[in-house]
Amino acid sequence: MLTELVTAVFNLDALAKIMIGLVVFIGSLVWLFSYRYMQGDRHYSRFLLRLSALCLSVLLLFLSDNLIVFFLAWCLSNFLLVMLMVHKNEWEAAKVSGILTAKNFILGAICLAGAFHILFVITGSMSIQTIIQIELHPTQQLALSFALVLMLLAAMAQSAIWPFHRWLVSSLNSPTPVSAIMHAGLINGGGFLLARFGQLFLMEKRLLLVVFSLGLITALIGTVYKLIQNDVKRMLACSTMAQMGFMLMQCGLGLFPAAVAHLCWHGLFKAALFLGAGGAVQDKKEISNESPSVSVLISSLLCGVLGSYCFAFASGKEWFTMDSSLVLVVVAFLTSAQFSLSLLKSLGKKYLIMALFLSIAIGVSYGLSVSLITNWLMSLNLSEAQPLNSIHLVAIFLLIFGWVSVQYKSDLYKFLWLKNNLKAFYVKTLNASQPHPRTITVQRNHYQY
Amino acid sequence: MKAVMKNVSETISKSKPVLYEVPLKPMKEFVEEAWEIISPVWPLENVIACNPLQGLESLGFEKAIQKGFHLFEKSDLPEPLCNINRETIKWCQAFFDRGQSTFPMPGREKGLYQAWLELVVYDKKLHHNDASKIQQIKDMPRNSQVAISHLCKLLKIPYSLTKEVLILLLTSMPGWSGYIKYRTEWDPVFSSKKNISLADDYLAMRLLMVLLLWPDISEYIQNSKLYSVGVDFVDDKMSKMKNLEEQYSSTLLPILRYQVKAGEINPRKQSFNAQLVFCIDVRSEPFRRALESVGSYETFGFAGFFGLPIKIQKISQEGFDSCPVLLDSQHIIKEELSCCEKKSEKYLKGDAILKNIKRLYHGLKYSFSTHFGLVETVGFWSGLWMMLKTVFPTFAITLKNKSIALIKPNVLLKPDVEKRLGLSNEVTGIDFVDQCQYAANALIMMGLSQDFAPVVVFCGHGSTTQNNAFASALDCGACGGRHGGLNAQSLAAILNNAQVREWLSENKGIKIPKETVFIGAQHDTTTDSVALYADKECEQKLGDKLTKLKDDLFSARIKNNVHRSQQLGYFSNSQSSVRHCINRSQDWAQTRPEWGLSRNASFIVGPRSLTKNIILDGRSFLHSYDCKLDTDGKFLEIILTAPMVVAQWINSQYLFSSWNNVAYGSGSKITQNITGKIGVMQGNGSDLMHGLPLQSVYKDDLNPFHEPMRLLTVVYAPRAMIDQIIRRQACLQKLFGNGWVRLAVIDPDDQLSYVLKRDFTWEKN
Repeated sequence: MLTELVTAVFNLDALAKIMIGLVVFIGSLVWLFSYRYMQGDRHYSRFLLRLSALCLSVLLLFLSDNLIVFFLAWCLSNFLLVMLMVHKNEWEAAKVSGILTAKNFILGAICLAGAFHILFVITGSMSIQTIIQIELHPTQQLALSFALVLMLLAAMAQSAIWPFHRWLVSSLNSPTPVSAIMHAGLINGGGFLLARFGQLFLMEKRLLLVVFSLGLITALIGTVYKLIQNDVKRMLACSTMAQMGFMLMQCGLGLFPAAVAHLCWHGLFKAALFLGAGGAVQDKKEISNESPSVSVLISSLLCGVLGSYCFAFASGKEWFTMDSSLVLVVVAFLTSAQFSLSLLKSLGKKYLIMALFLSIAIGVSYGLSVSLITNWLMSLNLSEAQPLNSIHLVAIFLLIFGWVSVQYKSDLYKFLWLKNNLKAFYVKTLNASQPHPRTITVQRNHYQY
Repeated sequence: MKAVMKNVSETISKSKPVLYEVPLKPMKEFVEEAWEIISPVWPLENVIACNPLQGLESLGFEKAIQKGFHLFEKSDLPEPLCNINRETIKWCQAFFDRGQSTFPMPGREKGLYQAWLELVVYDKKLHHNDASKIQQIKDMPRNSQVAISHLCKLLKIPYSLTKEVLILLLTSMPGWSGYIKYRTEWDPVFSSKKNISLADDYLAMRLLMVLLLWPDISEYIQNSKLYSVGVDFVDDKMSKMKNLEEQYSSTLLPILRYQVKAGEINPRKQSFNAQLVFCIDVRSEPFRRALESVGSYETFGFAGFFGLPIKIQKISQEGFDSCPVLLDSQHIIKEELSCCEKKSEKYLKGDAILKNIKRLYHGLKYSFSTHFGLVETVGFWSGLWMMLKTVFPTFAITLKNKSIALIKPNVLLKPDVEKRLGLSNEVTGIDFVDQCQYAANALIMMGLSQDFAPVVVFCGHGSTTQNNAFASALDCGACGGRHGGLNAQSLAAILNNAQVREWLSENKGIKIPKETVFIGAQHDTTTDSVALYADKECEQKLGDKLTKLKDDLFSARIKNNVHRSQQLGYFSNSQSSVRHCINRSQDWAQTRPEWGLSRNASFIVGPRSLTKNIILDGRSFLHSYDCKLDTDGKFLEIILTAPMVVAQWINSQYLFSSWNNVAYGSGSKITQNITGKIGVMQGNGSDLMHGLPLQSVYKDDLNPFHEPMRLLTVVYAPRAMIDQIIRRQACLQKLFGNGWVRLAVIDPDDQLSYVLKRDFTWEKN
C-alpha cells in the first residue's frame, strides 16, 4: 500500500537523480558555510532550519511525479526562499525585495496551476510520467499549447527570464548564503520544469522557437548588464540572468539535457562565487583592454575552430551541422577563441602552438562536461536538435558580434558618430539594470541588522 | 529637520555672526566649511581607522555626540532627498569604480562633474524627458565651482541657509561624502592633481540633482517643522560609557602607581637572550607578555612603521605608502629577491605565469558569449574547490599555497634600503645620513640605546584572513593599513650596516656591539605565528640562539592562542587552540577571524617595567619611552602628537562603530556588497558603509564585544614636561580639552598619579 503510494507520487529517474545530487551537494555546503558564517545572528537557528527545510522541499519537487505534489513543493520552496530573503525582517528594503519576489513567484505559481489544470483535464492523469507520454487527439492540441505557454511563463518567472528579471536584480538584500543557494538552486526551477515536460515541448516546434528567442534576449541583456555593473553582487546576479537565458536557449534548441548540464555546472560555479564575494577587493581584475592585432585575431579564430571541433567531438555532436546544435558549437568556438586571444595577447604570437594545444584541451573538457550529463540523461529522450532556422542564425550573428565588439571596446569611443549613442546606451542600460527603487537603502539609518 | 538646521546654524552664528552690511562670504568658504564636518573614508584596500566625528572635534565630546546625532543618526529625510540619494548612489558607484565593471562609466578622466554632466542628459530618471529640464542641464556652467553658486541662485536658497543646505547634502550620505573627502585630501595619487576639485564636483552634482528632483527645496527648508530629538537616549549611553571609563581608570591607575612605588622601574640591568620590538598595537601586548613568560626576553613597543616614512615598491605590483597617513612618504623602497639567480628567475617567471592564468580566466569571464562556455568548462572544478574550502578550509588553502609555490617558489624578499638610481632615473632607497638619523631616532625614542642583546628583532604585524572585505582593517595602521614586515626588515637592514653603527657611536653615543644582529619579522595577528626574516648568513651566525628564539616564539604563540580562542568562544587545550586559530584564519566562512583592536581602552607611554607585571588583557597600546633619555620632551611630543593621535583615531572608530553600528559602522557582513572594490554597501545599494562591520565589534547581533570607551592615555613622565608640550600643541589642547582623550600622568618625582581635567589643571588621583 505504502510502496504503491510512493511509486504513484514519486519518480526517481535520471533527471531527478542529477538534480537531487546537485541540491544535496550545494545545499549541504551552503548549510555548512552558514553554520559558521551566520554565527551570532539573532535568528541563527531559524535561519538554518529554514535553509534545511528549503533543501528538503526542493528535493520533494525534484522527486515528485504527481502534479499536486509537484505544485505544492514548488510553492513551498519558493515560500521558504522568500522567507530566507527577508531574514533581516526589520530592514525595510529587504522586506520590499521579498515582496517583489513573492509577487513574481505567485504569478509563476498561478501560471503553473493553470498549466497543470489543463494537463489534467486533457489527459485525465495526475502522473507526470503518464502525461508526457500521452498520445493526444488533434482537437486537444490547442489546449496543450495553451498549457505549455502557461508553463513557459511559470518557468520564466522562476528563472528570471526577461521581462521577469527584476526580482533577481533586486534580490541582493538577502544574506550571502541565501543568494548562493538561490543562484545555484531554486532559480534553476524553471529549467527543471521545462526539462521535466521536455517531451511535450518537443512536440511544439513553434513554441521552442519562442523559448529560444526569449532565452536569447535574456542572455544578451543579462550579459550587457553584467559588464557594466559596479558592485560585485549585482554583477553576479546579472550574470546569472544571462546564464539562465542561455539555459533557456538550449531548451529552445531542443537540447534539454544540454540545458540541464548548463544549470548544474553554472549552479556550482555561481554558488562558489557568491560565497566568496567578500574577497572582491583582493581579487584584482586582470584583463588587457587593448584591441588585438589582425593577425592575433585570426590566429585565435583558428584556435577557436580547432577548439569547437574538439568540443563537438567530445560531446558527440557533428562539428558543422545544419541543425540547432550549431549554436552550441559557436559558443564553444568563441570560448576557445577568447582563451587563445588572451593567451596570444599577453604572450605574443610565438605561442600559437601552445594556444592550439590549449584550445584542444578547452574544447575537450568543455565537451566532456556537457556529454557527461547528456549521456546520463540519454534514456529520457529529451534531446532532439531542431532544423536550423533564421532565428538561430540571427542568434549566432549576435553572439559573434557581441564578442567582437568587446574585443575592440577601447576603439569604440574613437568613432565620433557612435560616441553619443554609446553614452546614451550606457545610461539607459545602467538605469535599466538598477534594482527596484524601494529595495535600495536610500537612508542609511533605515538599514537594520 | 529644522532642528538640524538650527543646531548647525547656531554654532555658525555664534562663532561668526552674519551681518549684511559686511561683504558677503564667498560661496567657496561655505563649501569649505560644509566639508569640514565630513571625515575621510579610506578605501577597503587600506582601511585607516578614523573618527567619524573628526569634523566635530573642535567641540566638547558631549556636544559633538549630540550634534553627530542630529547630523548622522537621523532617519527622517524628506522624500525628494531620498530620490536624490538613490541617483547619487548610482552615479557614485559608476564614477568611483576601481575595476569591478568591464565597461566603466565613459569620460571619467574629465572629473566627476564634467563626466556626469555629459551623461546626465540621457538620464531619464533625473530629467523625466522634460525638455525644460534637459535644457537646464545643457545650460549648466562647465566649472563645478561656478555651478554651485549658479545652482544656489536658481534654487533661491537664502543666503543665511546656504551652508545648511550644503551640510544637509553632505551629511545625508556621510559614507560617499567621506570617500570623496579622502580622494580630495588624503589619496596620495589623486591629491597631486590639484586642478580637479572633486569636493566641488560632488556638491555641484548633488545640487543639480536637487534642481531636477527637488526644485522647491528652499520652501521646504524655510517651512519645515521642528521635531523633538531623543536626547535622553544619547545621555543614557553617555552615562553608561562614563561609568565604564571610570571603572577602568580607577583600576588601572592604582596598579600602575603600585608598580612605581614597589620599585619595579629600575634601570635595566639584566642581560637578555633577545630584545624584540613590537608595534604599539593592542594585539602586541598579550603576545609580548606570553613571550616574556617563556624565556629571557625584553620587549618594546614602537609605532609599527619603525619611524621610516617609506613607499614600498613590491615586485611586479603597484607601490604603496607604508607609513602613517599623517606623514608623506619620503623614500621609495624596492623589494628585491635575496636568493640565487636561478631561483629568482623562476620566481619572476612564476609570477608572470600566475598573472597570465588569471588573465585567461578573467578574459573568458568578462567577455561576451564566452562566459556560457566558461561555466560549463570549470563548473565541476569550482564545485570541488568550494567543497574543499567549506569542509577542509585549512587543507584547501594549504593546497592552494603549495600549488602556487610549485609555479612561483617561496623566496625571501628583502627591501633594498641603499640609495640607488634606477634605470629610468628614479631614486630608490634612503641616503646614508637619513638612514642614520632614522635609526638613531627610533632607538632613542623606544628607549633602546644601550645594553643590546645579541639578537634584536623588529616585529611588524599583519593579519591573515579569507574572504574578508575588511581584511586591511586588521593590518598595521601605522603602515597605512598594510602588513608591516617590510618596514621592520628595512630598519633591521639599516642597523646591520657597520657604517651606520659607526655613525651612531660617533654622533649619538649609541654603541651597538659587533655581535648584535638585527632581524626583521612579522607577527601574524590572527594566528600569532611570527615569521623571522633571517637570511642564511644570519642563520649561520646565530645558530642555536635563533632556534631557541623560534621555539620560544612558538611557545608564546600556544599560550596566546589559548587565550585568544577563549575570547572567541572556543575553550580547549593548547594544541587544539592553535589549530582553531589557524582554521579561523583560513576559513572563508569566518566572519570573526580575530577580534582586531576590539576592547582597546588605553595608551600607555613608559618603560616596559611599568606594565610588565600587569595583565592588561590586550586593551592597551604600549609605547616604550624613557623620560630620562628625553630631557627636553622632544620625543614625548612626537609620541603624543603622532602615535597617540593614530591610537585616538582607532579608538574612536571602534567607539563609534559600536556606539551605533548603522550610522557609524558598516552593519552586518552577511548582507554587505562590495562596490567598485573600494567600499561596501548594504544589499542592493546604500550609502558607502564606513566604519567597522558589526562582526568586528559585536559578539552577536545584540551584545557588544567592544564597549564604547574613550582612550585613556597614561604617561610616565614629569607633569611639568607634559604641560609644556600641551601648551605648544594645539591638537593636544583640542583632544584633551574637549574630552576626546583622557590624559593621566604618573609623575616619577612624587610617584603619584594625576588626571588632566578639561581646563588643563591636574587632579590628584
